[in-house]
Amino acid sequence: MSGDGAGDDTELDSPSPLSERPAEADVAEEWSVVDSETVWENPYFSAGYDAVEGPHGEIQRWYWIDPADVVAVVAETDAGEVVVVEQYDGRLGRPLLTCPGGGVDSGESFVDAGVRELREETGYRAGEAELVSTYYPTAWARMQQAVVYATDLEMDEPDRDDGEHLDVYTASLAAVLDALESRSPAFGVGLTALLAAREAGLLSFERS
Amino acid sequence: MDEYPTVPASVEAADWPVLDVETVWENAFFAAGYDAVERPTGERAEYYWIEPADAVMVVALDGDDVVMVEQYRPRARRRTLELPAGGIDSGENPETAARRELREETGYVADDLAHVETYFPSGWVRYVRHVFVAEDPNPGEQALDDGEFVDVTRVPADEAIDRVRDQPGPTDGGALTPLSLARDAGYL
Repeated sequence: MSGDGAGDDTELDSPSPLSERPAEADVAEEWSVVDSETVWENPYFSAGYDAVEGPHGEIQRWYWIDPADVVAVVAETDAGEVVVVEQYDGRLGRPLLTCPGGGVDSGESFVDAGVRELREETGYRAGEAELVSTYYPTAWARMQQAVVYATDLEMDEPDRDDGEHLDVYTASLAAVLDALESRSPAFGVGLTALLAAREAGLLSFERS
Repeated sequence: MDEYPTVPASVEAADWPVLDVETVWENAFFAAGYDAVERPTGERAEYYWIEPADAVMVVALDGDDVVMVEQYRPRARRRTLELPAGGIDSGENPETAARRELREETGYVADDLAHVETYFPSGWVRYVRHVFVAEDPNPGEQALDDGEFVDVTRVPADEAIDRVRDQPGPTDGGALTPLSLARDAGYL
């Protein structure tokens, strides 16, 4: 099984009642990966599946992709505004309004990657940055999404990759959340980052 | 259906010209492939994707509690606290799917569902999650698929986000984002 609870590729046994479920400490040992196959590799991720044997001997296939971890930066200016970017995303075929961010390089910390991406995409150098949260954005992808909060911003020159076209805006958190939510569908990465930073009490103002 | 946005299937709807679409792998759960796209600067670039079914996530409020589910996730090798959720069947209305998943996984039957948000969880995956809030659904019997092991648990609404975040390791975004959106909308 995989993703957001799409149906299972279950074979063999039906499960026993939940009341017979093993004690928690024993559960992990009763599921084992019996096979792992990579079916497709491209420059950005591999795609494949694991065959997992469950506690009653049933075999399920769990499908996955494994892109690099990514970071989203909630950058707050001295004026108490939040930095957002709008950039066309060829994968989803539309412009996305979201927080600055991008892929984490091998060996790079989430905070370092966030500071680097913020600088490259927007030109802002962050004097201070901290890790707010990491989460799995989708069960289909074996990747973490980190949220970094950055302050003490100073404007420098952006350093964008070839083919990177984006617009940078700053606005109040209230205006930014309204703008992100006005997109249909919204891009969850920016929304989650902003709401997580607010939940952590990091943003110095409340949505009016 | 018009009120629920989905990922555009049409090449014509894309702002940047799509020169080619290649599906490289199809399995029981998603198609995987890439689009060759012409950027505004004229160069050609390949954008890789997978395309599973859209999903529904349900924040069900029973009094002051959120109805949540605990299940074992082999990939994470642990039990995780999650929201009732699942894939939308082909041709199924998102609200119908949300009502079905809530009933199957928790037994709760929702008369009214409020649509809170529809979002892309990740740039790599061409699908959306529709977030619904069900207020005071009626308890009933679970109807789990074979191979589903789901325990129902009630969590105080004002603690739900902390409980999700306090689990070891990276947080489950499928719970974090919908709960955050529900709180932002004034439900928690």
